Amino acid sequence: MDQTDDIPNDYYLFKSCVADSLYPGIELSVKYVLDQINAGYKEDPRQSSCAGFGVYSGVVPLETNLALNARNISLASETENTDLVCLCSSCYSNLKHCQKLLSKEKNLEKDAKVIMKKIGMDYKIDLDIRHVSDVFLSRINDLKNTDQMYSLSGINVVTHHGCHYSKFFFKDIISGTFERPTVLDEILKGLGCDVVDYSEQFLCCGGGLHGSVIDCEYSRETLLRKLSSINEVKPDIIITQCPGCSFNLEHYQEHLIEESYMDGYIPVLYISELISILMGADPENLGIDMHVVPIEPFIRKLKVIK
Amino acid sequence: MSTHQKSGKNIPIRKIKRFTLNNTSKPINDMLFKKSGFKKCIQCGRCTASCTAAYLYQDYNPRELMRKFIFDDVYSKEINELIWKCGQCYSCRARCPRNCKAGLGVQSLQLKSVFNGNAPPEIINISKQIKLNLYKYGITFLPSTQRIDLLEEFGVKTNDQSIENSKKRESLGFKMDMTRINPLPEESLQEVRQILELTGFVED
Repeated sequence: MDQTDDIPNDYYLFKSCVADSLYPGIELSVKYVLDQINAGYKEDPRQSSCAGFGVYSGVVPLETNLALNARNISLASETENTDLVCLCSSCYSNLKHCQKLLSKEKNLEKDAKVIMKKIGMDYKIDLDIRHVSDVFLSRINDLKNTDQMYSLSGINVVTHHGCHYSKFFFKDIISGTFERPTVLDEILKGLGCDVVDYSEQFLCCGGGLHGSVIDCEYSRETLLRKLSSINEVKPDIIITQCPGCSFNLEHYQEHLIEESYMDGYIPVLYISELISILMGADPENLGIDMHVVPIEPFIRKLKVIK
Repeated sequence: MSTHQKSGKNIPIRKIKRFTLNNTSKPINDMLFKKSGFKKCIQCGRCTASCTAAYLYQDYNPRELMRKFIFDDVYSKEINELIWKCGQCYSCRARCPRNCKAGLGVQSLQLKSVFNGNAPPEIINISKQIKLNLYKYGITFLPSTQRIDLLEEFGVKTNDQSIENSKKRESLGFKMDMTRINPLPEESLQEVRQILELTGFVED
C-alpha cells in the first residue's frame, strides 16, 4: 500500500510536550533533517499541548480534549499549510481522533464551535494530520540524495512503531499493516541498512499509563517480553517514531541486563535522530547524546563515507 | 425442565432468557462509551488474546468488560479497579473483527471514575498536575512531570544519566523545567484558560 504520493513539501509542525521534555533532540533533529532536504516547515508557539498524555491517562475529559484540539487544528488551518505533522504517536492519534469525532458527531462539533466563538477564533479543522515518519518515507529519495557522512551498511536494525500510530487509525498506515507496520523499515531500507524482524513486534512499548502514574509492573513485565525478544535477534540499534516509546525501551534495560534477560545495552534512537547522525550532525549540538543508553558505541560501528 | 425428542433420546432444553440490547446503554450516556461499539461485540475474545494487560493480569479481560458494558454492569468496585489496568494501547481495537474499541469504553469509565473521585490517588494527583500545567503554561507534560521515584525504578546508572541530561537541556537553549524554548504567547494562554474553564477542567 503506497499512500505517500499526495504528501506535500511544506508542513505545520505540531510540537510534542513529551518529546521536548524528555528528548529535545527529537524536535531539533526533525528540523535538521527537514532543512537538509529543503522541506518547508512552520513553527507556531500559539499551539497548546494536544493533552494526549492526559487523555490516555484517563483524566482529560472529552469536551476539554475536543475544544483544545479544535483550537490547535484551526490554528494550523489558518496557515497556508495543508498538512499538520506530529512528532509523537499519541499526538497523531489524539488529534486525528478529535478531528474525526468533531467531523462525524454534530453535537460535539456544535459545542466545540460555541467554545471557539467564545474565545474569538474561527473553527476550521479540515487539514491532513500526519506523522513525521510518513513525511520521511514520502521523501525517501531526497533523504538518499543528501550528502551523508556515514553508511548504514552492515548495521542491523529493529523497529518499533508506536501503538498510537499503528493501532487506532490502522487504515491510515502508509506502509504495511497494523500487524506489521513497515514505515520505519522502508525508510531504513532506503537508507541502506538491514531491518531484522523479532517475535514481539506487535507488542506495546510498556508505556501505558502505568509507567508514569500508577505502578511500574505493567511497564516492567511488558518490556521484559519486548526487550528479551529484541535481544534474541541482536540488533545494533532500536529505531522508534515516538518519544514515549524511546523512553520506555531504553530506561528499563539496566535491570533487564542485571537479571540476564539482555546480553547488553541496545541504543534506542528516534528515526530523525538516526538520519541526522548519518547526515553528519553533531549529536551533542542536537541533544541526541541525551539518551540514557549511550549512543557512542553505535556511532563507532558506522562506516565513514567522507 | 422440558425435554426435546430427538433420535429417541430425551435431551434437556434449558430455558433461555432472551434479552434485547435496546435499553442497555441508558445510564452511561457518554460518546466515548458509545464509541467502544459494545453493542456490536460478538464476544469472540480476539481483544483479550491481543491485550497486553490481559497477558499480565489474570483478572483483566476486555472481552468480559465488553460483556459487562452490554449488561450495564459497570458500577462495581471491581470494575473501578480493573479499568486502571488497561494500558490504552488499542491492540483490542486493531484486531477486533467488528471494529469495536474496548479501550475507549475503558477510557470513558476512567474519566467517570476521576470525575467521581473514585480513581486511585496517583491518578487524582496526575489529573491535578495536568490541570495546573495546562492552565499555567498550556502544556500537559513538563520535564518535572516524570516522577523522581520512578527514575529510581530504572537503576543507578540510568538515573545518573537522566540527572546529567536535565542539565544538558540548558546548553540546547531549553530551560531546566520548561518544555518549550518559546512559551505560548499571553493571548494564546488566555484562550487555553478559557477553554479549560468553559469545559470544567480546572482545579477547584
